Amino acid sequence: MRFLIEPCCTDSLAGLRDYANAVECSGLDGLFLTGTDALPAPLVTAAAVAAANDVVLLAVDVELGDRHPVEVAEECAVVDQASRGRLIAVLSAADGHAADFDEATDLLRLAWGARPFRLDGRRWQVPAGEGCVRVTPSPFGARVETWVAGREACRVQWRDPDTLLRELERERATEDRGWAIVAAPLGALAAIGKAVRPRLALDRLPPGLTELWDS
Amino acid sequence: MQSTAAWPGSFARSYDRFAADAAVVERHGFDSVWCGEHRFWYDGWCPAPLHAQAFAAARTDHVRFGTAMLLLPQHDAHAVARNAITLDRLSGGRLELGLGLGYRDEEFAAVGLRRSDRARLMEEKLEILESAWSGPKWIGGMAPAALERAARRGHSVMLPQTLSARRLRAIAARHREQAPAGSRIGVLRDVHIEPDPARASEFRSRLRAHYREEIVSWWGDEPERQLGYVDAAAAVGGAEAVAETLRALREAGATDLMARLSFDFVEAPVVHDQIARLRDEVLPLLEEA
Repeated sequence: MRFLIEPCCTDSLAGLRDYANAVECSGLDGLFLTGTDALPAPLVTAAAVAAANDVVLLAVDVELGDRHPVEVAEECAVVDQASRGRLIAVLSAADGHAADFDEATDLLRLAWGARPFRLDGRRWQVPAGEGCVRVTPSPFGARVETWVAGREACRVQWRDPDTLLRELERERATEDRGWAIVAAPLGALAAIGKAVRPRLALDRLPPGLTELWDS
Repeated sequence: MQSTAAWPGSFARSYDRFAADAAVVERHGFDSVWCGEHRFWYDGWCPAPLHAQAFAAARTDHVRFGTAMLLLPQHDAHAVARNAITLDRLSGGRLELGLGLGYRDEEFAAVGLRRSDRARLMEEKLEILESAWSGPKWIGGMAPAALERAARRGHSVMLPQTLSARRLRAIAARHREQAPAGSRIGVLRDVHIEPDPARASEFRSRLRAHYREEIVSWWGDEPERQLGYVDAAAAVGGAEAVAETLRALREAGATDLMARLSFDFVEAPVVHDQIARLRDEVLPLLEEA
C-alpha cells in the first residue's frame, strides 16, 4: 500500500514544506492537496511545494466544472513539468457537472497528448472554427498521471496508529485500491511511516516480525 | 520559459531557471520579477504564469512577482482569483497582477471565445477579480481605452516595450489627468548592457530575429515597421547609453521600469550578469541625475 498525506491545519508555505519533508523522511509517498479557504487553488500550492521538495509525489484534487478543461490542462502541464513528473491529477466532477465529466476528461487527455487535436463535443468545441490546437508545454513524461476521485485511493482520517491500521486493513480486504490518502497532522507522519506502512507493505508478513518491530 | 526553434531547451529546466533568475533579482535588491503568458504555441511559452511564479516564490524570500501580462479575457475569472489568492498567500503577499487583453485569435478560439469580445470580457472579468482579490493590478496597453479602463478602476498602467519616451510622455500626462493619485505608470523595456559596439550590434540582430518570429506569426502586418519600433526603443549599449534611455523614460513620466533581460537566446549566466550590471553600473547613473 502506498501513502499520500493530506495536510491539515496549515496554510503557509513553511508548513507545507515541513509536511513534504516529513513525508519524505518517513518513507511515505506524497501529499494530497485540495482547495482550502486560505489556499483555494491546489495546483498553485502544488507548484510551490514542488520547488520546496524535489522528491514527494503531488496528488492534486482537480475539480472539473465551469472552467474550460483546456485551461486546467495547461496548469497541470506546467506543474507536471516544474515538478518533473510528480503530479497526479485526481479528477472529480463539480456539483451539477456530472454530465460533462467524461467529455472534460477526454479533452484533458487530448490536451496532454503528443499531437494537435480538435474536439467537437457536446459542450466544448476546440478550437472554435477550423483547425487544430496544441496545448503546450507537454507533460514531463509520456502523460500526466490521472486518477478519478475514489477509484485509485481510499481516503481516511488519522486517529492513532492502531485505528489507522485497522481501517486500512479493512479497506484492503474490501477493495484493494493500493493507495491510501490519509488526512493527518504533521506529528503523525513518523508513526505512519514506522508503525503503519511496514505492516501493510506486503501481502503477508512472516510470523514474529511485528513483535520484533515492537520490542 | 520557452523552447524555441532558435534556442531549444528543456521545459522542466526552464521553471528551475526562472526560479534561479528570481533569486538573483532578489539578491541584487530589485523590487520585482515579471513574466508573461502565451498559449498554444510550439515553444511552450508558459501558459500559467502564476504557477511558474508559485514555484519561484518557494525559492525566494521577498522579491515580488508580477505578470506582464496575464491574459484575463481568455480565462475563468474566478479561477484567476483563486490562483492569485493562493499565490499571494503562499508567497507572503508578494503578488502584483498585470492584466492584458491578448491579441492572438488562436488563443481565444482554443477556449471558444472571440478576440472581438475581448474588451467586454476584460470588463466583466475585472469586475469578478476585483471583488475577489484586492492586490495591486496593472492594466496593460497604451490605447485610450486601456488607459481609461485603468483610470476608471483605479489601477496602474503597464506600457509596452515598443513605446518611445516621446510617445510615452503624452500617454503618461493623459493618465495622470484621469487616474487617482497613487496610480503608477509602468513601462516594459528590453535591456542589454554591452559597451562593445560589435557585440551590442549582434545582440540587436538576435533581438530582431526573436521579434521577427513573433511579429510575423502573431502581430500580423507590417513587420518591418513593428521591428523598427522594437529596435528604436530597446536599451542596448554601454551603461551610460542604457541609463540615458531609462532616464528619458522616467522624465517622460514612467514611475516603474520593468527591464526585460531574459530572452530565449540569452544564456542563464549572461542573464545573471546583466542583472548584476543593471544594479552595479546603470542604477548609480540613474540615481545621480
